[in-house]
Amino acid sequence: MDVLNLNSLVEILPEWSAKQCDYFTEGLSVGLEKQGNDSGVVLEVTGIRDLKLKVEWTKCTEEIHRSWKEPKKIAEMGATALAFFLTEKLTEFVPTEEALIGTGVDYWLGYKEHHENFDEDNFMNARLEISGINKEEGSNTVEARTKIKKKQVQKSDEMKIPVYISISELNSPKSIFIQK
Amino acid sequence: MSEVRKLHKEAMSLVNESKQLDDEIASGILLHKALSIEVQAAMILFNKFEAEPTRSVLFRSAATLAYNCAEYEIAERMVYCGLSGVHLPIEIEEELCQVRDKLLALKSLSVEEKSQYNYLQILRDNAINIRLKPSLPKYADAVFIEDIVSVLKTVKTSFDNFIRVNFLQTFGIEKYGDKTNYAISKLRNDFPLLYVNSKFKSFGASLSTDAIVVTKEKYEKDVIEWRKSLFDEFKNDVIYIDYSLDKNLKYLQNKYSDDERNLIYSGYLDIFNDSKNYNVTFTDSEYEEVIKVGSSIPKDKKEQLLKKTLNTKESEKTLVRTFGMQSKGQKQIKKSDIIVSEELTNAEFSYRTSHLIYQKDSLDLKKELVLTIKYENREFSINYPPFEIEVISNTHDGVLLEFSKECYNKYRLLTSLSEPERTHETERLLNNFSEFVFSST
Repeated sequence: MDVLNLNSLVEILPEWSAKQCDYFTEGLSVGLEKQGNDSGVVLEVTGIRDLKLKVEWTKCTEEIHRSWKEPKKIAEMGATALAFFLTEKLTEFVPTEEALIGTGVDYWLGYKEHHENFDEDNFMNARLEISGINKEEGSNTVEARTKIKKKQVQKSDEMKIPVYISISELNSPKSIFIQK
Repeated sequence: MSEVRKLHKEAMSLVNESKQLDDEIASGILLHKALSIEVQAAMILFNKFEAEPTRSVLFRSAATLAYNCAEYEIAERMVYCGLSGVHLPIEIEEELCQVRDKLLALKSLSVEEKSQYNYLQILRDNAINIRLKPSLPKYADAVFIEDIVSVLKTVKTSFDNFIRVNFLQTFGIEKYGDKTNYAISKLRNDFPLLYVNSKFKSFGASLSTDAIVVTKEKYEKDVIEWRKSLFDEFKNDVIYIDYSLDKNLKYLQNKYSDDERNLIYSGYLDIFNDSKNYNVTFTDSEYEEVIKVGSSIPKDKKEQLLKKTLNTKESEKTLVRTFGMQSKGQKQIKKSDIIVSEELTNAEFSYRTSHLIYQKDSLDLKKELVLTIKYENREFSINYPPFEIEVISNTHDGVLLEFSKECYNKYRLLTSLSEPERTHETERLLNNFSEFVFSST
């Protein structure tokens, strides 16, 4: 089984600051621990490829736990970190930019540096939609979120660039990673 | 990292920074800086047509920023630079065209009209879009006006109650103590549900609320923050939720108590009844793409959602509107002359009075006081902000009595205050009372 070491996000995203990467992975570690998981827990991934990943991280201190209070923020950051790892593992892209304006997507993806289509000026080649849940409850499930996200990106289906959707739940933990 | 990417990154970081600021002027300065840098980034790719989609995304981003900064000439230039590309993705092309259309619409407007138009656009982007169609097209696709009014009022009532329930869940009564009811009523008045767009589709209406642009400084930060997510929560928990799924009902049962669910959902669910003259759907902003069909809620599901409340309220009186034949001089319509009668979920009455009487006490008024009595969820209420009074009762007479009692007590309290005890606030209230009160006995 492949291992997903949370400290390695900074290697995947060399053009993002270490501080930003740490923020995402810290959110993920806190989220997993708050849901009763310890380092070594198995993440079940379905979608483009079904696989299991052993997730490893350094245990968070009490102080770190205290600094993460908002469950929504934890789920959001945790899901973002997982989506970034999965993008790198399952596609030919890496996250390049947060999509702040327009489009209804969360992040832009660019070709990996050694890819034949890589062009440093053309760094927005695919799109990534992310959603996160701490624990599935009522209508708030990974499947339901996937449906909503599919609708959300539907308006740009005709666009000829790929759209990926990554939805994660931190309790089980599991992720759905699909291409729209 | 390429120069384009560095510049774009810098611009987006400024956009992010501006979002964190409460000060509109400081935020605007940062956005203008971001715009100037984003224009530079986009222009580097002006001749690099093979750099799609990045090229058009950057021009779209610069055009949107320019539009938001009210720099319409720059926005127009960025739109056409973007559209001059080759093989631009359809979605980005559409977004560039949307900015172009908004700019064209602005051209004929005055400066003041432009800012109003932009403000409305923000509200529309966040609106609930409701479409009504007659269930039997008796008059082609035309819808009865009373049906439109009834649906819009029902959604408004549900939203007003949603504000009350969520406010109490979030802040309890500790925050404002005995002024909680007044605070909620003030919040409803300051952030009302607004009618922001319409179209004949056959009837399409967009409802929205402003919790972002006009921030009321008198509210504490936690209340303003709470308001920001409230409308989205209303959309999720009331408008778009699928009531046919047990897990959703369970979720609502866990989140809201029986009474709270009754307040939010009891009248609202009725607009989907098969017996209505119309069908309700929730759509995109053009009233074309259906987001949710408002299907009739099965009886068992309705009972799950409103079960206990329905049982406990069965004995309560309801307000019924009756149409029928009435002879001249006849006080009450005969049962046999009734043509149709309908239980009302909400109604509004205007009430004029020159005396406010409570038991042996009364206030004689210099001029008529015009009150609006609202009937919602089997309760009558009067909210009169100039006197800072909001009262609720199960009966029409009861609510008038409560209002008189509150007025009398408040007026007596205000007039009994000694000079040092008076504040700016009590002075203002007393002035409002003095405008009406002639004498008290």
